[in-house]
Amino acid sequence: MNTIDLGQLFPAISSLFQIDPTIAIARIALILIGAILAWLGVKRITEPLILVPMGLGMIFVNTAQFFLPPYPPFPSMYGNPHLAPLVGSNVSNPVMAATEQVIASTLYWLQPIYALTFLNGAIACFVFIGIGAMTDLDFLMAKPFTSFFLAVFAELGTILTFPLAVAMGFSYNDAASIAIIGGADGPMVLFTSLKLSPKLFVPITVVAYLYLSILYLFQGKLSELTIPRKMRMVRMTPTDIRRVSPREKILFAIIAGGTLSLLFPVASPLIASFFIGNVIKEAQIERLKKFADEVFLNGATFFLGLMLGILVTPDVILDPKVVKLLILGITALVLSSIGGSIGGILMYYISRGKVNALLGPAGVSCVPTTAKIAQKEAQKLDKRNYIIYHAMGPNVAGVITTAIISAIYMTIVPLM
Amino acid sequence: MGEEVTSPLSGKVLRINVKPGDAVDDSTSLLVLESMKMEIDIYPSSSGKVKEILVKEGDNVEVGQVLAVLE
Repeated sequence: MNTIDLGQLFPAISSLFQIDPTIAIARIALILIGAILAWLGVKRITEPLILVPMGLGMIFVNTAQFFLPPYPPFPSMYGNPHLAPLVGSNVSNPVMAATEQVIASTLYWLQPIYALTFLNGAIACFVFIGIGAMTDLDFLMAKPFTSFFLAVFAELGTILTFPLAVAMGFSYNDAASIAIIGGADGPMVLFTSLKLSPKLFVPITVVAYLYLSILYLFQGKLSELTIPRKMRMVRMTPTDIRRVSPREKILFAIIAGGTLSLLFPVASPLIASFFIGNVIKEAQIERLKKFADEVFLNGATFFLGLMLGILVTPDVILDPKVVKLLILGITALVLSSIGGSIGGILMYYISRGKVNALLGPAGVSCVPTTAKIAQKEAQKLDKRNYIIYHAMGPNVAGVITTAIISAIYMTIVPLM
Repeated sequence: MGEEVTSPLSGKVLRINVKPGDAVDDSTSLLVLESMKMEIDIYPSSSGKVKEILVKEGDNVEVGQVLAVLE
């Protein structure tokens, strides 16, 4: 009988001592960060939907991971070594030779989900079907000019972050993926970065979701700082909004979805998913709607969070680009929010004081979070001011403008 | 002088915070509506006493529907 040493019995522990200590430290740090993220979500300090599964994924991938020699130094690739070859970044990954060890990994079970729903961006589309099925187009259709005007201003971050990221040394492809963080739309960031930056999509998307889950902590404050008080006090009544019939909405969804697909085929999967979800809702096909917005959306969100967490391995955090990503990500969101404020203030003047400027930052397309923030801010000053319906207009328009900008990036950047 | 508190939004009544006979003013949240997956407090425009509450928790309400009457 062969003798088995403790190291072989507990490979995840022994690998802590066998490889570069920085990786061991990074692993421990990630376990702690994962725990903090999960805890913040559990405590509802941040949005729990993505962060709890993501934090748990980070904990478990970094406790279970083991790197068998010969495997030093840590290969410069992204994601879980068992999954990364699928990204196409490192097909000659030595760990793939050790097939048995790969199969032994506790994380191997997620590989089918990764291969079937991440590589082709399907998971982002699933989320979009769900978002479409819970979005009311009424407000956007009732006030299309105001909505799109504000949404375009709230894209400031998605536009300005591109040259900033290029100046900080990122390739055009990566810069475009990072800039989309300014759209505040998680699935869109995932979809774009999978296409444009297959090697950086994990940190970009994780950074995006990290900031999005704390968006409400700073966007409200930012609106208070950038918009004069009297412009935040404008009272808007929900009954001002024209009623839009379901038939009109279905027609709009089909025409808008079709036209946008025709113009921007690269983003068509997302656009189509959104409007398919929406038509299901407006046609009142209750069972499909329930499936799309409860089962599908929640399921996709869960796997999105878990999978992202599991892709956060030491190589991701040890890459010096991550610090720049953290800076650019928050810059993109803050710029978009400020752009929204500028749009809101302009609209206040254009409408001769009839439009509450808080509608501007609601154009940052994190549906429906930013619209909620606008409502909260308005109610802070005037308890009987219900601007939420009005805020949904630019909010939903923001999804569409972000999809367009992301499509433009995905089309043009590879040609640059 | 009574006041009819109407629903500013369509949504579902999530919680009712007052009962008939309670004294309320314009900073008392009468009830919480869930609209667009968001919880929104509903306040009266004046002070008074709750005479009647016309909805119950779980009800779906439309814009303009009377939620409560104050006296």
